[in-house]
Amino acid sequence: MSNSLSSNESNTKKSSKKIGIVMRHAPYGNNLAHEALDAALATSIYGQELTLIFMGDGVFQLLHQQESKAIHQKNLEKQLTALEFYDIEKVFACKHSLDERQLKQNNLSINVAAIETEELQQLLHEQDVLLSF
Amino acid sequence: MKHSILHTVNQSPFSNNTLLQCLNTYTDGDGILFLENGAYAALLSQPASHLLENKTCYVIEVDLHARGLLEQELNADIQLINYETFVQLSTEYDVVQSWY
Amino acid sequence: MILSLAIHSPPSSQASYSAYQFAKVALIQGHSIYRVFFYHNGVYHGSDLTCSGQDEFDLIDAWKQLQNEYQLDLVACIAAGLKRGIIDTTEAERYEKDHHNLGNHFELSGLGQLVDATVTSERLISFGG
Repeated sequence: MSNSLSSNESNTKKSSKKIGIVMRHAPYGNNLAHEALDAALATSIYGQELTLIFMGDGVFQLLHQQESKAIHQKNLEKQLTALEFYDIEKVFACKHSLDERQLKQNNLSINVAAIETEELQQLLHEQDVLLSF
Repeated sequence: MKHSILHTVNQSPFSNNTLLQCLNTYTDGDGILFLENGAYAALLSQPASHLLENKTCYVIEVDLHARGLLEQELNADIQLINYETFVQLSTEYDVVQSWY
Repeated sequence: MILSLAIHSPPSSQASYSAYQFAKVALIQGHSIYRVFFYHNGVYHGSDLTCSGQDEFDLIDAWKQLQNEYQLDLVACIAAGLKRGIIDTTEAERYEKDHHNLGNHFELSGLGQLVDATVTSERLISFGG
């Protein structure tokens, strides 16, 4: 819907690229998810057109009620809720990945648009560059 | 505007569903490049082998060779390439997405 | 073409070798590499204390040679580096550490360098695992 608008925008603003950040890893176990979110926040600060895409085990990052204190890991849920303060609004989750894990929208800590496979394909192919995590 | 994507996959299809996730996002005009342990995807015996039909796939030959796979039954639809072609492909496709 | 690499894997991973091969071949083919950004476990490339076995390929040394030849911009993320004990003289002073280990060929800097590389380059290729 807003596709034509945003591509016009990127034509006029040459320095702005559509950057997609793909998050595919579970929140703890290693800190890839955490560092990927740091990269997302950094990208938004630099005024780039940013889209976050959660898929595979990456959708586990979105689960609410994460209590990571006991394993001494920085709480990812808190970091996620910071996204809106950085005006990162284009946050998508692969519906197939959510369904596969039987996660419901109301199990998630932030507002994401759950998208069907076809939309996911379209979204990925719209990006000028993909940062893979 | 629709870009073409070169997907790189470096995980064995026998150990996790990284390749399936990649395939879920593949559209016509894309390519899949198998490297490192992704080379096992070139085996005809791998569980997702039939899903690679009609898709453009490449595998780094030295990765096959290193793993002793050249003598095994390979998926004939996958093109054996070197690093030179890897670089060339990543400039020919619009975007590179790494599945690891 | 202007390329940049994001390396998330440690030197011990084959993904890091693939990244190096990619960079080397790209340079030989006449492409330019705007920056190599080492992030996540990729920052371990920055340690100058890595010792390879005599019969093993020395990946860190190979990067150094490539850097010498092509004046590559090899940047390790400062935040990810500090967490993993990759530290330069400035940071050693700041955090009151007696030692530092960042190789001369590398630079510690912020994530802005990754964003800049992403925006400036025609392709960004990630290596991880």
